[in-house]
Amino acid sequence: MNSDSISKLIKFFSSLRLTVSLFIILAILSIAGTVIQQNASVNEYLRVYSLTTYRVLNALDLFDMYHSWWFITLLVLLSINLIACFLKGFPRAWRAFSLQKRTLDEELLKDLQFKENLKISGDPKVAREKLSMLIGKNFRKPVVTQVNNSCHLSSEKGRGSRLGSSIIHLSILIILGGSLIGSRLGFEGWVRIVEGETIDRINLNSGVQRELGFELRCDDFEVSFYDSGKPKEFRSDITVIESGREVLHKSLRVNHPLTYKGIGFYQSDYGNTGGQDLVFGVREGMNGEEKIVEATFGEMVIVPDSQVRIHPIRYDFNFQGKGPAVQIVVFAPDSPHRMVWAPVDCQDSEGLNFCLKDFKIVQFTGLRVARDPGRWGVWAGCVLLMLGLMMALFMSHQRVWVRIEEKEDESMVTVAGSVNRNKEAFADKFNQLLEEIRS
Amino acid sequence: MLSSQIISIVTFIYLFSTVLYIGYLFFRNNTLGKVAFLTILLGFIGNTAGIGLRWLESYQMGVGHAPMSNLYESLVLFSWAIVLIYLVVELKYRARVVGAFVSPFAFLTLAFLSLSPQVSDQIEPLIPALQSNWLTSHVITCFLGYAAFAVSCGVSIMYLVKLKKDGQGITEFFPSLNILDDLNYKAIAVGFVLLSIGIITGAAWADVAWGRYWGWDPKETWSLITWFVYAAFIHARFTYGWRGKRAAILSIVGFIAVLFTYLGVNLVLSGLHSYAN
Repeated sequence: MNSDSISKLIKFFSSLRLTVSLFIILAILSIAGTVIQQNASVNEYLRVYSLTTYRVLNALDLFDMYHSWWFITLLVLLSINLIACFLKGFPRAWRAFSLQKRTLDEELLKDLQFKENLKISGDPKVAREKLSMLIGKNFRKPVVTQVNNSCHLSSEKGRGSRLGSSIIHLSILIILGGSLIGSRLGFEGWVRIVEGETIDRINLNSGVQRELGFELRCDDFEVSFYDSGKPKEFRSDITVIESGREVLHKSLRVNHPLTYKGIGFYQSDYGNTGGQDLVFGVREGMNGEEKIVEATFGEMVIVPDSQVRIHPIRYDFNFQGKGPAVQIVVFAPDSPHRMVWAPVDCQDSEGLNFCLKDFKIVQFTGLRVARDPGRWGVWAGCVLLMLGLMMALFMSHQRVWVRIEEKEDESMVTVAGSVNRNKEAFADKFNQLLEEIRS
Repeated sequence: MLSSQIISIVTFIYLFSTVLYIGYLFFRNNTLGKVAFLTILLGFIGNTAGIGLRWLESYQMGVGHAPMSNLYESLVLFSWAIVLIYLVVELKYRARVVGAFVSPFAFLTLAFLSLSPQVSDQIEPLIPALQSNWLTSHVITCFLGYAAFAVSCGVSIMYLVKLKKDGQGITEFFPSLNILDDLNYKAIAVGFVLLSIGIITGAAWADVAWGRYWGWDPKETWSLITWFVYAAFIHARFTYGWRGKRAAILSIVGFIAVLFTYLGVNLVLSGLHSYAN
């Protein structure tokens, strides 16, 4: 490849056209990902889409589009664009940032947008003092440089503004780098721990299991509710055990994870395991005799002295906000089977009444597990991004020079200035300075 | 509750200030302008009191938390933030007419709140996921950002109207095209920084709650889409020198993305995703 085509390539990859195109393409494609549900099950998709539509969308990776090859390719292109912009912009920005021009010569003057020639009569020393004071008041205290017969005052403000965009580009590369490290070296998974039990491995989202290198025991799981029936707190009391020794106790709650050896455990769900000892009271009508039935989930039992059979299927520890209840399927002769809830606090009515008399529920806590060694890169990038945004958007590099040719009882003065952005505001400030000099 | 009664009154004050501002626009009567400004200021004081009182009431109910936990509270905060940003613009640039294009946003936000059946003004205790120190900083930065974008949208509409009418008629009274263009950019610069902080605090919160800072959920994704639109605006301005009409149109497009991030994701996408529930 010759140097001409290389420079063309660099030009393409650092072009704003590419940046804005990528912004628009990424934005439009991302919309698709919010309309089409991501990572749902095949059954859920087939409920919404026809088989043909499903196949087409699936072939296009639209059901997991943010991890598809084409979305990743766009992110890689964005990274190359950022690197190219940084490499192109940074040297120039650094020059503008670090080069401090102290004297106002003709060559510099030619390039400046703001300039004015003035004559100040009176003692040149007094005039110089006054100019120095006025610049100090409107900008910063000027640096005085004496060259031959002329005296130069220079002052600047907001140099950081020059570096802002380079810092932003760098910070986004750091964020993307951190997320790459996280996706390569980290993992995400989940685990369920039954109360009183201990686990030493977790299930990764990829489907395989992973050993932790230590053990977790769930001592207790509690869920509490507000009067409205909405959940108030999910709490798992967890003990970390390493080499047979208990090393850490922690009450894990939503927003209060447990982190051990770089692996985070986050409260995500809970439930109950099957095989509980359920005791129902069954009563026919308002005044019937109560019959006691012992049952377990997933098994059919006959209510004594009757042809009614019941089959408990589901437990809800706070059914309609009134405490625990078990859902059962009732099979009675001469009528189709039906589903009813057997609550603890039951009211008798016509027909068969089912009451939950006793139960032993073993709960489990469901934890999300994640390790992400790249997250510190992401946070460092975020801090840098904020810094860069402030510098790029709220600062402007303002510079002023005053060249004074001193005569017997008058001074020939050239005032000049430049700014990299927000010209209107600087023009006001510059004119204000001129006015104060003249008065 | 006293706080929701106050908010109902504030809704009417904002309606009144909108009418006064439009009157000011047509009759160019400075007294009318002054009254309009004092009215919106009164509305803002009421709005602030409503938020503060609701905060207090939640503590009296024993479920104390910042009033930022549901759609009702967020809409009240949104109208508050819009008027706050407008007041800053008014104090800094003396651009009173801008009020005529910003005041309706504040009124419509509160009107939506009282008309929509989906919005309940009940103070609810916080569910576990919302019990976090990140709640306040995340919500406030996001909403101040949204409000800055609302103001930039209002200013952009003014720009386009003034351009169309060639500066004649009522638009003679508007700030110059240059000032409107400058205000549009400044509001977007402030909004962009606030949106960035909002996304970052949201990511930090998600990391503590779910062990991941980014998960491509619709809300996260739409906030990123919005960020892309305004990032494109800023790049086009700095590098291509995009100003005036094109900048104004892009600013309005950006605000549509903001509205979708804020309301659309909750009201529309949840509908599209209802099969998942």
